[in-house]
Amino acid sequence: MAPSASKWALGFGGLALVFVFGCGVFDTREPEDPGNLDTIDLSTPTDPDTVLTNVRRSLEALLATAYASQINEEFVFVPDPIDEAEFPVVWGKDQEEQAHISILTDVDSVTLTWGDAGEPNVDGDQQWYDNLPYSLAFSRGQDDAVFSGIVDLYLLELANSTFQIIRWEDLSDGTGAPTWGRLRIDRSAF
Amino acid sequence: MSFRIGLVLLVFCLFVGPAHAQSDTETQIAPDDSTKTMTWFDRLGVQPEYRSSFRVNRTSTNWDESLQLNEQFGSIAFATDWNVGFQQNPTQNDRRQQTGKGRVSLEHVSDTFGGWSFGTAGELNQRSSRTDFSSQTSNDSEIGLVLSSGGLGEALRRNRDWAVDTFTWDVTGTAGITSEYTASERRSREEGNPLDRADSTDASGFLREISTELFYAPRESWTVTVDAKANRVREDFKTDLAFPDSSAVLEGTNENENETFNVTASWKPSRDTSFEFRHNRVHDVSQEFSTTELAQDTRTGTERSVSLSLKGEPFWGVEHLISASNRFLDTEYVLADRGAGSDGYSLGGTHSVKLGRLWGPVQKTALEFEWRWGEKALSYDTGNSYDSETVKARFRVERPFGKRLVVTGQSETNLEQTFYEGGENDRDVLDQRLESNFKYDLREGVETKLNVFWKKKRSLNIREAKALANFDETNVTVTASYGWDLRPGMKLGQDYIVTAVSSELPFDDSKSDLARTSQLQTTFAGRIGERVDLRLEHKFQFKDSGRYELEEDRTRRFAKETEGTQQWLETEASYRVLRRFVVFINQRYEIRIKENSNTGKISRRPRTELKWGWNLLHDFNEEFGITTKFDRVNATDELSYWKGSASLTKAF
Repeated sequence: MAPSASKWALGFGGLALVFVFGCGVFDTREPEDPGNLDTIDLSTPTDPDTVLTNVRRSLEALLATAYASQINEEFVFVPDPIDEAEFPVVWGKDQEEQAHISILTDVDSVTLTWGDAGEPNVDGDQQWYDNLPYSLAFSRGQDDAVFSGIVDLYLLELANSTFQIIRWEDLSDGTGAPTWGRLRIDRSAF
Repeated sequence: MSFRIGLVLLVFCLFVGPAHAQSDTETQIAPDDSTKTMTWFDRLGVQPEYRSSFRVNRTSTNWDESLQLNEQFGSIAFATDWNVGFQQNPTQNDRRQQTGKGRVSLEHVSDTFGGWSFGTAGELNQRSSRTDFSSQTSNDSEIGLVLSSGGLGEALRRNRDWAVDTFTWDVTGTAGITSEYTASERRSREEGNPLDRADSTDASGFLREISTELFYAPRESWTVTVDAKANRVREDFKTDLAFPDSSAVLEGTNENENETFNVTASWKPSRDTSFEFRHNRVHDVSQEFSTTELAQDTRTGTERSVSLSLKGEPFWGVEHLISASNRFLDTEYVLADRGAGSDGYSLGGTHSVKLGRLWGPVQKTALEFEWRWGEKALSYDTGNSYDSETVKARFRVERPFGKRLVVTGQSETNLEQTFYEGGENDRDVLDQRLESNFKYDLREGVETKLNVFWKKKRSLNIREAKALANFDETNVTVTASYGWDLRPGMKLGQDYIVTAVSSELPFDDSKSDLARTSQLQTTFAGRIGERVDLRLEHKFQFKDSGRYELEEDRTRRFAKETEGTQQWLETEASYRVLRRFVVFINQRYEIRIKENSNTGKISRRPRTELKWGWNLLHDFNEEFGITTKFDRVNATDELSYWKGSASLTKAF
C-alpha cells in the first residue's frame, strides 16, 4: 500500500466515523414526562421468582414493553395442541411483544395470578417451573374474560446473573377456559 | 417404559446384519466384502437406508424412524421415503404426538430429447397430537401423474450451439387427486371430560401443477438460475361442528393456488470481487376452516424480496461486503381479523483491513467497521401498526504486541425506533457496548486473559402514559482468568468474574436498584494413564441486590434487600473403553443460601446429584453407524431420570 493511499484510507475511515457518531444518527427522542403517574415497580431479575413478579406487574400496569424486557431474544412459545394449528411456525420474542401490545390495548384492567409450582428445577444455566398454573383476568367496560392454563416455564440465567424467560410450553388446564396461547393468537396478526 | 423399549430396539439394531468390532486404535474398518453375507436386499438388488433416532429428557421421549430407497432398474426409477415419529410427555396433560410421512414415485426415465421422464408419484402425511383435554388430527394424501422434460433446453442448446453445462431448462407437469381430513376437539376437566367444542373437515379434489427450472452460465464468471412453479388445488369439503348443546354442518368448495418465482444471478469479475442478485416472489390463496371464525375462510398471501450483495477488495487491501435488500409481505383474510403486512428495506456493510508494514508502529493492527440501516413498516388488521428504523455501528480493532500479548477493543451502538399509529406505543431502544480484551501468554503453557465489558441499554417509551416504564440498565463485567498446563494432560484454570447490574427509572429516582455478583470458578482436569480422565470443578458465587433509597436531602443510599451465596462442587471420572466409547460418573453437590435483609428470612437449598452414563460414537463399517449419549441422573430434589439421545444409520 502506498503511503498516500494509506492517508486516503485513514481519511475516509475517519470521515465515516465522524459521520456515524457526529450526525446524530444515534440520538433518541425526548420522552414525555409522566408527571404524577405511578411508575412501575420492577426489580432486577436476579432469580426466577422476581421474573414472575415482574411479568405480573408489567401486565397489570398494561405495559407490554416492560413485559418484553423479561423475555430473552431466543424465546420460543410452544402452544397447546388445540391452538397449534393456527400458530405460525416460529413464535419468538417479536411475535410475543407485538401480541401483548395488542392484548393490552383498550383494556381497563388485567389481573394475573400465578399458582404454586414450588421451587423451580435446576439444569445447568436454566431453571424451570414444572406445570405452573396461571390465570389471567381481563376487564374491558362491562365485559370480563378469564384465560387460564398451565405452563412449563423455562428461564435462562444470563452471564450477568439475571434471568429471562426463554421457553413457554403452554397447556390447557381442562377447565374449559381458553389458554393464554389462545389469547395470543386471537389478538395477533402475522 | 418408552426408554426401555428404545434401548431394546437399539440393541437389536446393533445385532442385525454383519458388523465389525471397533478396534482400540481405529474407529473405522474398511468393509471386507469377502466376509459379507448376502442379505435379502442384496438378492433383490436394492439398497435401502434406515435411520433411527431416540431422545429422552426426563419424562419426555421422542422417536423418529425413516427409511429411504432410491433405485434404478434399467429405465425405471423407483424412489420411496418414509418417516414416522412419536413424542410423549405424560406429565404435560399426557401429551402425545405421532407424525407420519410417506412418498413413493415410479418413473420411466429416458436420455433422449434432452432427457425426460414419465411416471406416478404419491404422498401421504399424517399428524396427530393430543392431551387429556384436547386433540388435533390432520391426514392428507395425494397421488398423480408426473411428466418431466429437458426438451426445451435441448432445443435451445442445439439452436444456439451451447454446451450442456452452459444451459439447461427442465419443465415438470403434475396432475392428480387429493384428499384431506382434519379434526380438533377440546374437552373440560369436569367429571367425564364432557365435550367443549369439536370440528372435523373432510375434503377431496383435484390438483395440477407446473414447474420449471432454468440454468444459464454464458461465461465462467456469470450464472443465472430461474425457478418458477404454479399449482392449483380444487377440493369439495364438508365440515361438522359439535358443541355441548348444538351442532352444525358446512359444505362448499375450496380453491387453493400457489405461484412461486425465484431468480438468482451472480457475477464474479475477478478473484476478489463478486456480485449477487436475488429475487423471490410468492403468491398464494388458500381456503380452510377457521376455528376462530367457525367458518370457511380465505387467506391470500404475497411475498416479494430483492437483495443485492457485493464483495470485493478493490484497493488498499480493504475488504468490503455491502448488501441491500427489500422484503414485502402481505397476508389477508376474508373473515378473520388476522391480516398483516410488512415492507422493509435494509442496507449494510462490513469493511475490514489489516495494516501492513508501511504503517510502522501500528502495523499488524486489524480494523473492522460494520454498519447497518433498516426501515420497516408493519400493518395489522388488529391495529397497532407501526414503522421502525434501526441503525447499527460496530468498530473493532485487534493489535498484537510481540508474540505474547494480543489486545482487542470493540464498540457497538444499536438504536431501534418504533413509530406506532397514534403514537401511544412509540419507543426508542438504545444499546451501547464497549469491550476490551487482553490475552497474554505468561510463559509456555500459561495463558492469562482480562476482559472488561460495559453495556448500557436505554428503553424509552415516548408517550407519558408508558414513559413510567422507562429504564436505563447498566452492566459492568470484569473477567480475569488463567489456564495453566501443569504437564501434558493436566490443566488448572481459574476465572474470577465480577458483575454489577443497575437499573434506573429516569422519571422516578426513588426506584433504582443494583445487583452485584462475584464468582470464582476453579477447574482441574487431569489424565491418569491412557484411559482415565478426571475433572474437578468448584464454583463459588456471591450475589446481593438492593435498592437506592432517597434520603431527605435527596442523596441516595443503597439498602440491601437480598444476599446469597451459591456453591458448586463437581467431580467427574471417565473411562475410555474404546477410542470413541466413554463411560463416566459425575457427582455434584451444590448449595444455595439466600437471606432477605428486610425480613431476616434465610432459605437454604442443598442439592446433590449423581450422574452416570456413556458416550458412544461408533462406525461399525461404512454402512452402519451408531451414536449414543445417555445420562442417568439421581438428584435429591427430583425423581431420577434419563437424559440423552441415540441415533443409528444402516445402509442395507
